[in-house]
Formats: sequence, structure tokens, C-alpha cells
Amino acid sequence: MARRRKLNGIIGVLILIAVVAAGGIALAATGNLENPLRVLTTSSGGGEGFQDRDREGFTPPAQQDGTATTVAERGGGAEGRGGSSDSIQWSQIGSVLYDVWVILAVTAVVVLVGTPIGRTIKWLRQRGAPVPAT
Amino acid sequence: MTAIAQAQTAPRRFARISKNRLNLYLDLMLVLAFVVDLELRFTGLQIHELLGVFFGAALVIHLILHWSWIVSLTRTFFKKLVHESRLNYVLNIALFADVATLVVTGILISRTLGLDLSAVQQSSRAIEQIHRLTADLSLLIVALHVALHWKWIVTHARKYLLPGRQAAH
Repeated sequence: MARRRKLNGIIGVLILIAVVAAGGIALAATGNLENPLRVLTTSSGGGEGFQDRDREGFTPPAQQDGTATTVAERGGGAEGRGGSSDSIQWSQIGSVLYDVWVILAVTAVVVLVGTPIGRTIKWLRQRGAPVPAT
Repeated sequence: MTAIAQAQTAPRRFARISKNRLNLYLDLMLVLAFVVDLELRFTGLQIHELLGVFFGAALVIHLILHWSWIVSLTRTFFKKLVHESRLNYVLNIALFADVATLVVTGILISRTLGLDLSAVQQSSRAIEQIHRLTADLSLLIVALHVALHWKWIVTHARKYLLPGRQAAH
């Protein structure tokens, strides 16, 4: 029973890694893949966050000059792209899928890195545990 | 058969939903609402602001459902505690602060909710910058939050969402 659970856990992790890898390849192919850590190295004033990133496959021609825009401008700009600011722009679904991919990718990293670290800590604690008196 | 015996043997039509199932459904809705609301270009401004308000309300429900955990961990934080729980607690504090700031700044700079907040119009640019920064950070913090609860999510998703296992529960 414990062995089956362990096997199921390993299979689950492998499926997660496969989904992250396949998702990353698909997002990269459609121009939606960005470095998720980029937001930590850029300032909020002039740099690009997740909301400012340009995507080759989904950026309308009017915004391909790469200039950063504010939330208000992007909200009002949607009306000028032939769509209403009140309606869903399905052409931007890649952005939503990218966010889901980031969540799954971080989960995969934490699982892959955290499991051996946790086992190492457990092993070190067991080594340092006092020997029971006989 | 008496009426009482009939009532006891009759199937219960309004079975109580388990807390874990409720948590799972609410959490899935929260994540979905979060990733959709994060992309203004996808939703448009009006849906973005409305969804943000509902997300804030759902977040309050999420906190209420986990209130006992919050209280018990707060009491034992500085006592003997597993490091993973302590890390989880700190991350949850950061997530709460970030999302609360996100929701509040979003309401302050809203343009379609019909709120006339003239007092903050002078500093709307700064509030907007804070809103963008917290939005960018929230994705990473939410991702870490999901990662630390991955086992719970997988266990209960298999229990309540898979067709074969769902019939047994």
C-alpha cells in the first residue's frame, strides 16, 4: 500500500513535469513565454512586469514599439483595437495560459527541489538524534 | 411501517457537503478567477474590476474557512513548530498582504465600478504603480502557495474530481 502510494506520487510528479515542459514549448512557440523571474529584477516605474510584456503572436500592430503602458492606458486601448473594453479578448488567452504555466512550473520546481532537501534534513536529524540508553 | 421509520430509511436529499470538498471547489475557483483577472488585456477593464471585487469577497470566504488553522498556527508560531509550517505561515502572511493591497488599490483606482473617490485622484498614479507591482508579485507568491499545498490539492482533487473515486464519496 505504501509502495503503491509512493509510485503514484512519482507518477504524479512526472506528469506535472511533462505538462510543464509541454506547456512551456507550446507557449514559446506562440510567443507567450517570458522569464517569470524577470519581474523581480525590474523596477515598477520603468521596467516591464507581467502585465507589460509584449508577445509576438498576440501583440496588435499598434503596440509593437515595445513601450510600457499603464493599466489605464491598456484598459482604454482595448477599445481602439476593434474590441470593446467590456468584452473578453480571446486573442489574449495566451496570457492567461502563461500565468497557469508559471504556477505549475513553480510547483514543479518546489516539488523537485524541496523533496530531496526535506529528505536530507530528515537524514541529518536522524544522524544527530541521541542513541537510546540500553 | 411507521412514519418515523420511513423517514429514517428514506434517502437524505440534502447531504452535507464535506469541508474539504468545499475548500477544493472554492480554491479552484479562486485560482481560475485570479489568473483570468490578472490579465487586463484578456478581460477588459469592466470585467477585470468586477472580477476583482468578487475575488476579494471569495478570498474573505477562503480565510474564514481556514480561520481555525490561522489561529492555531499564530499561537504556536514561536513555539516548537515544523519549519515547513512556519515557512507556509510566513508565505501566507505575505500573500494576504499582497492580495489585500491589490484589491484595495484596485478599488481606489477603479473606473467602472461607479465609485467617486475624488480624494485619491491626485495620487492615482502612485496607487496604480502599487497595483501593478503587487499584481506582478502576486503571481509568484500564489505559485509558491499552490506549490506548498500541492499534496493536499492532488489528494483531494483525485478524491472529489475523478469520476471513479467520486462515486464513493
